[in-house]
Amino acid sequence: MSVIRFVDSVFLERHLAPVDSQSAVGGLEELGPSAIGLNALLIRHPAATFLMQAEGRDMVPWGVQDGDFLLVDRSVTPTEGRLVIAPSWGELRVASLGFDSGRWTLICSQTEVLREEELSVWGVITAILRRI
Amino acid sequence: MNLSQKPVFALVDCNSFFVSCERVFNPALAGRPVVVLSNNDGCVVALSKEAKALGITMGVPYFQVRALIEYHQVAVYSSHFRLYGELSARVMMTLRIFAQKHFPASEIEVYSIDEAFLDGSGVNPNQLDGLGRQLKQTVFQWTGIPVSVGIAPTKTLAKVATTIAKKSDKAQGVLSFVASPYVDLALSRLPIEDVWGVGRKLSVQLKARGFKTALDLKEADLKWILRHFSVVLARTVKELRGDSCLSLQQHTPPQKSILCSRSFGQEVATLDALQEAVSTYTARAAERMREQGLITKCVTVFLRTNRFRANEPQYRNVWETNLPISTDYTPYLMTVAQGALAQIFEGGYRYHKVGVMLSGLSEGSCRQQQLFGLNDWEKKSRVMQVMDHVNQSWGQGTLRYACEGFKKTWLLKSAKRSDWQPIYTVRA
Repeated sequence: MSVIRFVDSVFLERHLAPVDSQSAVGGLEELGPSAIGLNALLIRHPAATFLMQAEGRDMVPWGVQDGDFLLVDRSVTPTEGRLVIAPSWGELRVASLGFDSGRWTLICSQTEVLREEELSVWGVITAILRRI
Repeated sequence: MNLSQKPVFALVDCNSFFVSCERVFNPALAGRPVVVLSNNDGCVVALSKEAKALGITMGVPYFQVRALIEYHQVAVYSSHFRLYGELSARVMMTLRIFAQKHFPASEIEVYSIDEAFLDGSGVNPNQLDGLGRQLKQTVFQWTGIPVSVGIAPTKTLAKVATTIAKKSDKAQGVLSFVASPYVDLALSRLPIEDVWGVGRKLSVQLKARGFKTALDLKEADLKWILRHFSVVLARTVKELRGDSCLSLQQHTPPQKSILCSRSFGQEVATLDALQEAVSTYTARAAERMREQGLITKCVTVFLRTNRFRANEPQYRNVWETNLPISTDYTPYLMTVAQGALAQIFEGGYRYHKVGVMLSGLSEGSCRQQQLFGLNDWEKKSRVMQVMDHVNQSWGQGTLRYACEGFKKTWLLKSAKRSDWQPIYTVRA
């Protein structure tokens, strides 16, 4: 049987109050090189990578939930089965890139599949970040 | 740059940069006419080619084209410099990576927010065009910003090549003048006022003497140019001939002057409000000056009414004060600026714009003041350091002088700013 030991939450609050990660004392800066570096871990091409936030539940079956943060890398070549950002009817949407009977498709929900003559992809999603 | 190699410059220029920035996150703007207004919604500072086709021109006051804009449903945006700055940094970073990978010299000079020169020396001339196209494609894929590329043996010719690359259907955004037989033809079609370094004033003088096109200037006699004009124009002539005089500048030279001015959101008539604005601008300018470790010898204040309100009385004036010693101490600069304002302020007018300029800049600190009896210079310079530090870490204007005012009714207006944030929301 596994035991999970809880540290007294009042103790935690008193001693590890949340701080602004930018602040001089208690912020990431203070840890210097040993600070957690999510940027280095997740971003391969800084010039081409954008941070976006998903809104809506259409893509839940593909693993994208409402409120998820998405890292989008424009320098990555889109391939079949990848999650992408694509323009559709004048807005940017999350979609899954498919290839069906010789044509590219964009799956935007369980019922909505785009198969236009000219599909374009804005960028390829390379990471999904979610607070849990 | 290796001296044994012939110099080659590639100029990368973003197409309608501010408009392109707005389009990156808003696909609905593709193919539609779009304009971007100056930071006071005063006039058009950027426009798409669709907007150009409707007869809207660069710099035209917004109210003059308002009806046209509404009739054609042109998309209108207020300037959004944070967005433009962020995308500019991405473009420049992409260029740096590309230069390192594909250009032997691998150097770039960021010339402005939307232009950069790359050192293309050492590249096989036959490959320049293809490399230019690859560069254009890469910048667009990585950043979403369309660019034009002009390649030539001199910077001035690279500017010409870029201008043509942008307009010509045949060039498709990329044009190389290296080992090209078409340079003279291109120059013969370029009006002289469009040559880099030839301003409006100079072009009037040149036209009066029969120079109409860039080709005319290229074929001018150098000695004659030197006698009647200047070394600078002679250099332009040489550059047009393919003789490189301007090299890649990796470091921007220190600023000669710092200007802080803005148009008011609504016209201002009272001395009180003008005093607040002058104090605020002096504080900003001085802060920017200290950032670069500079001190100033001259404070200039200017004001003017709205020249586009033809039915209102017009007035403009400027007052320059030479300081006994160079300084970077804001309260002193404010006193001087207020004195200047008092000299030129006239009641009975509705003012549209006021500005403060610090010039005669040199490197230094407050130390000199000690010689002139301001013996607490150390304390003063510490006060400035603390204020700058607080304002940098906590946001501009956190700590400010009371004379800057608190209500700031004269603050600029920007009503149509796109609601872009660092994190863009997408439907999922």
